[in-house]
Amino acid sequence: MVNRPGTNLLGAPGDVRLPPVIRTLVPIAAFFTGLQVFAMTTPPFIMPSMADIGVRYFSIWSSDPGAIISTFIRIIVGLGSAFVVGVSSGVAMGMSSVIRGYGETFVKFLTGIPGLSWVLIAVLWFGNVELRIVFVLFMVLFPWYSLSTMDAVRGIPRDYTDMVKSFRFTRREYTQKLIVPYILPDIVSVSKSNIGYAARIVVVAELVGATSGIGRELLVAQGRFNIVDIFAWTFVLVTVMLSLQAVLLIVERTQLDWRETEA
Amino acid sequence: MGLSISVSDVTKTFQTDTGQVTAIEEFDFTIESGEIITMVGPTGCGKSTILNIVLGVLSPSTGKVVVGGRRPYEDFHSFRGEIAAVFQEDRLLSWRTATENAQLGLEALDTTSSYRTDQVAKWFDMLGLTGYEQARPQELSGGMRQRVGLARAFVIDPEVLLLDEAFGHLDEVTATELREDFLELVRGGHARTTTLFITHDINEALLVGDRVLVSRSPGRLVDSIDVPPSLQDEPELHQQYRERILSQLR
Repeated sequence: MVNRPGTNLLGAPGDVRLPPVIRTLVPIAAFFTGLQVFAMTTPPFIMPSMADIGVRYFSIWSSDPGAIISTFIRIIVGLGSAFVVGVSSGVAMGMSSVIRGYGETFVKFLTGIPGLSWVLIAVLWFGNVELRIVFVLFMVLFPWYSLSTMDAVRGIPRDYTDMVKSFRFTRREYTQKLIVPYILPDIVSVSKSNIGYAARIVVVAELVGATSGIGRELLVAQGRFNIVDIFAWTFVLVTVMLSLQAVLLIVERTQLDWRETEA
Repeated sequence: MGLSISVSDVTKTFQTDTGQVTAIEEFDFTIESGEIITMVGPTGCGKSTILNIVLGVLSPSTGKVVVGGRRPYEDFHSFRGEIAAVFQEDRLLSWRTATENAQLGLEALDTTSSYRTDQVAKWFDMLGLTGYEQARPQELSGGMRQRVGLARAFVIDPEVLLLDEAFGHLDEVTATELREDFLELVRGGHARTTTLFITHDINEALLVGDRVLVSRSPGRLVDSIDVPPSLQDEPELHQQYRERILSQLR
């Protein structure tokens, strides 16, 4: 990389930058290199080699797909239900000061309850494991959808609302033509965060009483002091999370391509 | 031909953190069907407020506004397809192309996709927008964006057209071009509607309007001046009218 004095490292004229794919992989490669260096200086029961983890990681996909599928489905159902209820309630609160008056503080209150508390509550409330896990995901994720959506709706400029209103659309048309497209970038943004939260929360929920899933596999690995499996399953979870992020990326590229032409 | 507009003794006050603010006080005027009326005054004299009241997105605090026998705020939805506005900021939706922005008003009416496309194409042709149909607002200049805003208003063939300093933020050359195109459309028979044109520019007011309403701060209508058709060809007479308006605003 060429860095002329006084110029910004990011994108200044004359800088020679690596292609985007390489720039994405460099920090990840550095991370794994760091782990490998650490592995070379510690006993394998503390930090196994990347080769051992890699072999186990790839074998999991063919030998234990059921656990991956279980976790994936739970994330989808939990995220999906949180999305539907969260966005709906957020739009309602954004459009109505009355509804907002009743709902906003309560939703904010819910954001203060830790995911672990919901896990413990759910264990006592629900006998059904799947319901328990989806409940936990829902309670952790829906407030963020709700509040982000509410803020996005309230952030629609008065200029836009008056202009669209002046054409005398029905409430449904108004929501469809102005609110939904305007808030879509914010919903995609909060979804990116929520996918990460979902991946972390589902594992905690699965630790307690689940008989399948990545969380359960991590618990079993921990019980056997199998650190290779702990790392491998963790990276499998990260892969699941990244695959969901990739779906969002497709949504962004197809539905939000107009943002690329904005100054 | 256009709906008539009757504004009777309209006052609008707003509640703010520091107390009550009166934006306009006892506005009283009538615009006959098909008339083009300009309203001129300095910033803060209530011009945009009265426009929004006639548009129906604001209600008067006291007084009455009647457009074609109905009240724009109370009978809001009955005016679907009848009132259109062009604002100072184009207010184009970023995620829509120029064509999609222009046809927004037609989507509120019972129209087919092909009708909307044809109508937009017709107005784009008249407004010099051919070739920009698929452009996003971000890709257009200020003048082109305002042309799309004009197309969006004209395309629904409104009975009432409201313009709020529509050319005010453009450079002199662009504003002059757009004003000439606009006058060609409204006076040339392509779109004769009842028009209320808000401006802070006295010359623009005298050029565009059949009659000029003069508003001064704080939100009072102080004069109504009929504009002779030959005014633009008589510089001395034009100067007299200009001085008359200026004297009302001082």
